[in-house]
Amino acid sequence: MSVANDATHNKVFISFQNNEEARPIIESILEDNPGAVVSEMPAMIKIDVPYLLVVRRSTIEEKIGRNFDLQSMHINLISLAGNIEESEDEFILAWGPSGHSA
Amino acid sequence: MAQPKLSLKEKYQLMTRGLDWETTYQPMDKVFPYDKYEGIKIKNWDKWEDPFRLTMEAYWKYQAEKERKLYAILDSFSQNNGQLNLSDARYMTAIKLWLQGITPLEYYAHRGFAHVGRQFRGAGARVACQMQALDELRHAQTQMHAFSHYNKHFGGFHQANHLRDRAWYLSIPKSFFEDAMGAGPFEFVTSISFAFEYVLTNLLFMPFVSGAAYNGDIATTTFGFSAQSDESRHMTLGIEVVKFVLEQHEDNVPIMQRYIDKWFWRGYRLLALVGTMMDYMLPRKVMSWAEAWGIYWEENGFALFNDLSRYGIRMPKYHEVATKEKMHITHQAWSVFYTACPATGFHTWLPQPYEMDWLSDKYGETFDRFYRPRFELFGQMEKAGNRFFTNRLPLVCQTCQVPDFFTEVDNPMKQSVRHYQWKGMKFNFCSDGCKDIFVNEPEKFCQAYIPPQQIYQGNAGGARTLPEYAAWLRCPMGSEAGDYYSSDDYQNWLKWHGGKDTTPSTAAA
Amino acid sequence: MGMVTIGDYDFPCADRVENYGGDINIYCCWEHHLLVPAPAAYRLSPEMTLRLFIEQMFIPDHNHHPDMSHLDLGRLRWTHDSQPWDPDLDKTLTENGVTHMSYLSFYQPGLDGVKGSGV
Repeated sequence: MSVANDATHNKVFISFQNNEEARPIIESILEDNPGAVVSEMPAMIKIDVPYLLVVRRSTIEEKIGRNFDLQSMHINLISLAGNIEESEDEFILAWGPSGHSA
Repeated sequence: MAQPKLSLKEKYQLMTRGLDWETTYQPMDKVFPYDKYEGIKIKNWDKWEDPFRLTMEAYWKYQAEKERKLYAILDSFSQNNGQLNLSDARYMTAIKLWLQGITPLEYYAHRGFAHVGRQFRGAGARVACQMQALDELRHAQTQMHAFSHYNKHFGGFHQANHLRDRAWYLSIPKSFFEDAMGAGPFEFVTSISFAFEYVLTNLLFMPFVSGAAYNGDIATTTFGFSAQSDESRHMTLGIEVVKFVLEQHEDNVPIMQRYIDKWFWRGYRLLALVGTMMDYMLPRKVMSWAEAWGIYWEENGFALFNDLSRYGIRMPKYHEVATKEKMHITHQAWSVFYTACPATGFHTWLPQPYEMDWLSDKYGETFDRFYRPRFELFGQMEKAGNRFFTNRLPLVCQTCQVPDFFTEVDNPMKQSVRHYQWKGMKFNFCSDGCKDIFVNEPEKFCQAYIPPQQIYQGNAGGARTLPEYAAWLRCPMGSEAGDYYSSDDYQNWLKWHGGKDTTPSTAAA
Repeated sequence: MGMVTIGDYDFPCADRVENYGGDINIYCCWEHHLLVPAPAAYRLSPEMTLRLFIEQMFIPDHNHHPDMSHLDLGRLRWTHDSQPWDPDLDKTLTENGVTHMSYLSFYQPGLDGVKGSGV
């Protein structure tokens, strides 16, 4: 059986608890990823983007008005899918060869 | 002058590299005796890329914060008698099943990762496994702690360890993990971190836990999401191991493919329990099993395998069977639980009219044609004062240990059974997927401790019948087992709510 | 493909027939009648006749089923380990070739459960 290889079948996602701490992170992701689609379920939010999703520290810091350590998003993170490329400024999820952190 | 700040990658490399050394008193192969026999060839462990570059310092900091939040919420839930705000006490069956079936797996995972964390000769992989071993122990503890509150108010919570050793349905998760822990370190990590955590646990920790929130169970919501945030690290370890191994040597590809095929199927069979929790044990519904399978496997899982195809990895064998079965397995599993509940540590019931409508809506023709008539017949028998219970032990698959309630994918009226002879003995299976797994490793699976067989051999306190077995299980009807509407849980629930049955009349809140 | 192991690996089957004190374990299923939702396991003497097993053990387990009154032992189509099978009801399990862990099933044409749903 061949596997569909279109945008629907190449989505990365990230999911957070639906709470005050996560809200600026979620808002920043929506701002930085124009193709993002949000699904709300009780107590959680899931954000899907075809191929690549970026979480940008500078966007979050603008919203909260103070420094933000990207790794602290672990506290409200629920789950994710995609190859990870992580620096102090960006957290990227991606499928495809460019997404591999080689 | 201040040193320039290290990047995350540099920081993490400094932490994990150089922790180990080439041994001189003993050869490396004797110090690490298990990481070669599976046939996986590693040319250079330094190519290991750490997925989450979390230092130990940051790890402790964030884990401590997660714990503080969790325990604050658990305390508040307990002080405010949060159990009274559940949608309905039927919901507790899902949580009993969690404590009895899933929490022990967290502890198994702790042991498994502590073990393989010692066996890999690459320090980066060892550190990742060590963190995961700590996480898994935390999950087992937080779950037991959260459920201890329910133990004060409901049956079914006070003897989970006893049940783990004796209950037939718990041999399904137990055998899954014991199989993984009895394998080599690469198979273990592929089975648990990749096939189970990356590919499948989102189905448990996302839609089901969201459902817990919808049904007023703040305790489970909190530990569930707290655990899943660790899982996202574990999942990433899983995919990293797979990619690393595939890149190291082309000879590794067929071995990894076999592991992926095996553990996708074993994990999928185990998840039949989770699907049943979602479709039948949540009084208020969030998402059906079929919908969740569509999102988390058919969309997200396909994306993962599209990505892995460049290493020569194809979709797991029999994934199309799993997708066809999504319309059936939860109704079939619930039928088993409904009819066998006198010999379990939880209660079951017939779906309420609003739930039958929801199931029709989500499963359409499949439900109305094959399962609605079944539940209606059960309902007629209940009305006639003859609530139906099975009085025989079932055929249990030699590989997955699930009672064989599965039907042929193209004929939902016909039982699916497969057979195989090995060393003059016959073995029976629920599916081609499970039969293939046995055929690859008959020496291992011929030893399976299959509950009905052990009962018939006299190894369950001498019990031969289901009532005798239930007594050995220490699960009396009413307080622990049997139909929900004749249970102590239901009577207490009515008492706490002024005699009012809070069963929702619609699936929505 | 054989199992890959770190050393000698040879353990007995957990369910070998010697563990059953002269009895055998068999499974039996009435096709298209999934009210009992999985095939049932029975520990039996291999010297029992198939008729005795069906009449004294299997039928009472399914007595509640509305189709039971239409069951006609003379019209059943049998399978043994999923292969077509033509047993003699009055012979013993052994004489009929039934062995430890055999899977028996039967189907009576026309009986397809409640509303033809296979239940």
